[in-house]
Amino acid sequence: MSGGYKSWRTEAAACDARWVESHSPRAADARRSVDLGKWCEVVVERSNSNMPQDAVLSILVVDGNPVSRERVREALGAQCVVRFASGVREALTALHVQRPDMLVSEVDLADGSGLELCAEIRATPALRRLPVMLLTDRASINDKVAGFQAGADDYVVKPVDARLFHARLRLLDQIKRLEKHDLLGA
Amino acid sequence: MSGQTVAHAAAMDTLPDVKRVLVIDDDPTILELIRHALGRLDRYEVVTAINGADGLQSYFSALPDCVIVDVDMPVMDGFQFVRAIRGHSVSANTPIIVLSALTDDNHQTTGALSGVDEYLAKPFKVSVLCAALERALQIAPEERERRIQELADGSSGM
Repeated sequence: MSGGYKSWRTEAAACDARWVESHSPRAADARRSVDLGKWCEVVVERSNSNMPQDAVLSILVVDGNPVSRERVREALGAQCVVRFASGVREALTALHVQRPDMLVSEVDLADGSGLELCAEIRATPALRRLPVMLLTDRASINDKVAGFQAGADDYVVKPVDARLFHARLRLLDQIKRLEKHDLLGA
Repeated sequence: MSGQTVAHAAAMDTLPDVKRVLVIDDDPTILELIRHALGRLDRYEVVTAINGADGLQSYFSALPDCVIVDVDMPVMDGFQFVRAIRGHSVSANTPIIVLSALTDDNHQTTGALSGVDEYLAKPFKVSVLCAALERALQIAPEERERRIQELADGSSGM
């Protein structure tokens, strides 16, 4: 089936599996089953009892609203290591102390904008490939375009279903790994 | 049911089920080619846009049944467009087909991870595009969510 999901997924799963085998930045990746292949019955597994059962993402969430922060905490629960910052300056400090796997930011922050934070991250060599998701109440077309132009990798409008939110974080993690793979020329 | 209502219902049954398709590509030749090809079939109404940002404007004014989008475009690329659509509950379940000359594994995988339903290569056959359109239009929201969850699970080893 030309262009069909099934056929290209088989190839993509194999490619992804090869990459995971050779580029695992985290131990847990080495045993991940490539679920791209679940639909096409391609499952890649490496059993190693010394490795952790799950790859836990560490996420810095930047949001000044306590209710929003609590919702994120509930949504991600024990599935991610979540730290919080309430504004741009606090976030930049936290990023330099300990780089997370991913940053999730509201656009409207007390001491600035999530777009400024995004631009600052992209201008900082040590951080410029950090995956950034904007999770915001702002839903206009112009806001979405501005978010991507500021360097965000994903733009999610609140409210979002908790399962879908977690899934999108994991998808973004995979997308950024592919980009890194491309940049390394592997 | 009154006679008038029955007649109206019968007339509605005979109307073709026309689907509105938004095509986003920075190449005007491609836009015209697809507009012409799909327009001949009487099943599709075509709306066009020249990049992802323009595509978002067109999306929310035209509210299409399906989107065909290129990847490599200025201002806002195709994958960014797809993520913007999937990231908002009001648009998240729109059928989306990528039509691109970028067909290596990484681009195709990035497309899937971004939420694309079908990934087609340029140059393309109109019959293949139509088949992909019909397949994408048949995907139920629950099926699309299942695919997203399965793809996401790939990063956690579940």
